[in-house]
Amino acid sequence: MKQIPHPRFLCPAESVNDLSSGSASGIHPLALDVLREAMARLPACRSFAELLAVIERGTRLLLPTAQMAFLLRQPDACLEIVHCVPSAAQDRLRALVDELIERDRFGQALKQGFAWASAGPDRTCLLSRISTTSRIHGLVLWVDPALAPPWHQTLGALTDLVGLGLERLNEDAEAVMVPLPPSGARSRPALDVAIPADRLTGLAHRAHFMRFLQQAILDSVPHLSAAALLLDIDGFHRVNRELSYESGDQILCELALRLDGALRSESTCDRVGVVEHDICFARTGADEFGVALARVHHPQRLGELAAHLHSHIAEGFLQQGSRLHLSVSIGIAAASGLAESTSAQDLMRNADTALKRAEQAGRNRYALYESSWEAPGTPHLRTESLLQEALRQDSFTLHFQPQFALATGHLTGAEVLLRLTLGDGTPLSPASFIPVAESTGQIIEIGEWVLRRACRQLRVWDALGLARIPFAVNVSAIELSQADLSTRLQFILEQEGVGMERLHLEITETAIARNEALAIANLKALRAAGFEIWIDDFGTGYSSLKSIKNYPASGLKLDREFVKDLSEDQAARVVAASILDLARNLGYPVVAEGIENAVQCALLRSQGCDIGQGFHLGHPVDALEFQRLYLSGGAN
Amino acid sequence: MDADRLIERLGELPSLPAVYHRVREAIETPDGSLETVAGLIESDPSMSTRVLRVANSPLYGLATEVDDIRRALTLIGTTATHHLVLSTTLLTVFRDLPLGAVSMRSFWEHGLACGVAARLIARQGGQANPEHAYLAGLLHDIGRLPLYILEPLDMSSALQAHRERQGHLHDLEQQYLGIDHTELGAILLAHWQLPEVFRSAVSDHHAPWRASRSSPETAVVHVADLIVNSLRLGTSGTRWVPVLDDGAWHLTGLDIERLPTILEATITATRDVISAFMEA
Amino acid sequence: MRLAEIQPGMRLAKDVHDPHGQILIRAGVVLGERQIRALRSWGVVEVGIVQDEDTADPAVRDPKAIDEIRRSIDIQFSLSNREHPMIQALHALCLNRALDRS
Repeated sequence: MKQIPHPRFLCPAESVNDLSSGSASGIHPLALDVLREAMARLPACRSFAELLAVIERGTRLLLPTAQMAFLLRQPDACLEIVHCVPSAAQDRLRALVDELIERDRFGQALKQGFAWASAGPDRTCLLSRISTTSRIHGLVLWVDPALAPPWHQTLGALTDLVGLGLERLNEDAEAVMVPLPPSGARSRPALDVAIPADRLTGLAHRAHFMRFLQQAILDSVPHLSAAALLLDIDGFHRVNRELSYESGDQILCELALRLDGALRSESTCDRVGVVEHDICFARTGADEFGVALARVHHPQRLGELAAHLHSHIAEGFLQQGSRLHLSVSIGIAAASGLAESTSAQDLMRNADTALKRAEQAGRNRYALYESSWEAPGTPHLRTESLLQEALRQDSFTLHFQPQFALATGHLTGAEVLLRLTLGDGTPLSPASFIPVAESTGQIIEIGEWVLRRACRQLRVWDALGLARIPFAVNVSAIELSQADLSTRLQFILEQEGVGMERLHLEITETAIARNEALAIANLKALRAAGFEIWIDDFGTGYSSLKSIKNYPASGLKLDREFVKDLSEDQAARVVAASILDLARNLGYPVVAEGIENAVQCALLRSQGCDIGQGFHLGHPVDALEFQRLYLSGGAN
Repeated sequence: MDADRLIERLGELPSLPAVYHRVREAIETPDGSLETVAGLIESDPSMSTRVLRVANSPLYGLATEVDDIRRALTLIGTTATHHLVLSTTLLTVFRDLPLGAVSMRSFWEHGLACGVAARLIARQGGQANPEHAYLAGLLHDIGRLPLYILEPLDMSSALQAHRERQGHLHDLEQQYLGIDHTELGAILLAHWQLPEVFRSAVSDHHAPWRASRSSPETAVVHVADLIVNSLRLGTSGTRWVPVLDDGAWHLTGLDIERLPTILEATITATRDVISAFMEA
Repeated sequence: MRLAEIQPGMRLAKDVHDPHGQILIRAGVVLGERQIRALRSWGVVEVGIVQDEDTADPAVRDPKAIDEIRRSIDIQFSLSNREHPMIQALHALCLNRALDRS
């Protein structure tokens, strides 16, 4: 068998031809000094980083312009760049590494100890293996125009020194460096420790969470689901208020760390059949956390997962020397990949709906979203979460329908109407969402929103010097059953800087009848505060006509039912006439709703109806349009 | 943070219940018998239920279900009885306390898993006493209890820094609190008057090379902790796999080929042991 | 099978060794882009591949995801001494567990 010379004494013929020009003969005069210095520094090196610094320093002296990359073998056999000189060259060196792997220069260097290659027109590179007798640790790559074959003796010797140093360090923890993160677009948000994190808890943000969830949904197949869990701390504002914001922050922090630990544990992952990589835990709101799961094998066990998370919270939190129990409601929704088109937003909405249900069921519960909740007849929960979303995102709008004095045709005011358009552009009718909002109590929050918006609109038009018309705003039965209604409304108007007389509160007969005593007390207080009270939908309710006179009302609104048949039906005309007559006797002015044609309008005028509203006179339009049509330059 | 002050405040932690001390006394007196111990355990119904459940868990590998304390104790032996009573009372005392950035549940899952793994490694490697290895494993991070309970703010900061891979948690404890859980744990065990073998396992389980002559139990706990952390069986806060000490690895007498079996057995046994300890 | 023909998702039938005879990638590992690149960088020309596997299963993770799982386990082990054979074995076992479960 032929004797194989040590690679260090070989001149690789294939690459020598075009390289061995100029100063490439003999060893660099500084080489011995460099090696001597490296050997002297070696014993003091305690980490792999320090060993690399020795090579780096040596190279600097010999080849001041050289670029270098250090590649280290990772546990999965990949060679990853752990250090670059200069660090700005990282992307170029990375590309070069890819190219050298393609050209099998790596294979050559790892087998023979070194390899030459050209890197562009006048740049040469040298690869040298870092190894000990027992193990190949990685490679060093130099790139420089002045590199030529004799250099590999000196540089190779430097690399061998590092190998020796590694052997000595052996199992020192620091000996292995974590690879540099690729600086380009290859970063993986799901895993990078450096994803934008919430400052307080260190968890990911909602935006990252939504991206993760969207990817999870895209990856889901029939038997591998995507899932979202929303965790909301019940009544967390009380913690902030009754302890302090510092305590509140500390608890959020501990809760985040505690659940993070629990979520990553084997028993949790095993339960629903995911790996750690498939979990994204994020802070999705002030006191709301989200868990997004990808490739869930056992979606039927998501409830168990929620119960398991509860078991990690059950012991409570130690605050200022005493124990504080938090209750956390959890809403869960899963997408199985069978669903035709689920978006992360849909899944979150479902989880939010489930969360609301859990909260309604009591404290510290969880609920799994069920698609049957969406079945016709029970769109309730879906609507509820839509409303919550609309409030959160401020996506309600106001429309205004003009009211005119029938005798003169002058604008007398406008009824304020709430509008909601979904993300996809479909409008949601108030007739469908108002009853839901009333049953969930969201109407209170929505009512306040309407009031504030209306006030701001009044102030805008006032500031523009336009006609100072009043607005008619609807007040629901729920609001009417709150003892502090008057105080609350006054407070809002004072805050918004609008006089009470500018708002006419429209209240239905039915709403008053629900709790007549409280309602009348409220109405009296509202009247006393300066609000006008109009009885809405008049004539359709069951309250006896004579009780009307007990209502502290300012006027009546004749329901559209009576207006509708006015032009054709003699009987309707008689009823309308008698209501108008009654109102006149009680001293109430009347607004007729739903006027759709000229005949109705003329009849009502002839019967002494004061004010009219309806498509015939003017459709509800948004504020700008209203201003253009009815307020600018005395139109109409 | 003042480490000495932290040590002084150890007294704020709940103490071990009287029944444990009496059991221990009975075991340690030359003429004491398991009969007396059984009587003591039976005087506390909730304790006897727990002891029986744990005795029947895979920890002790009893051939048949035993429903009599006396018989269970005789079958598992005096040392195991002591450890069984200690672990049951410890978990009872600390199970329902609020810990902080780690739940008690995660904490004990980690301890129990480490105990289970340590016992398996001791059996397979043949160098350490399996019963001692189990208790040392269960207790190895006990020093974190006072850290979490007494210094919750600093521990949260340390944990966050650890999550950002700024270092091993025990190093960050030093940095943030001036003392780490191994040191504090050993002091706590001295308070409880537990034997030296456990104290050194607790104090050296992250740095077996530091001890002049590591015991095989310390080495076994070092390796068990590493395995349990890599499998993420519960957590006492540690998120990343610690560094393996080569000397300790050799001291366990374990062969790499045995790792898959150890891992599988640890996972399955831990599951049952946890439910034996954790169910009300 | 020649390396040029290897597709992500294939499973190694035999251990692959480095020039020093140490194991690079163990048999049974599902190859991702990353492993194929690793094999190429070590100058491996041919590897044994498990033949009759049902590759049409939609539940099989795509190779990119396999790489990501591997990376998350790499991160988990990043503060440990990964050159120690026991740590390498442990890393491999954890990775296989994760891949088996997924």
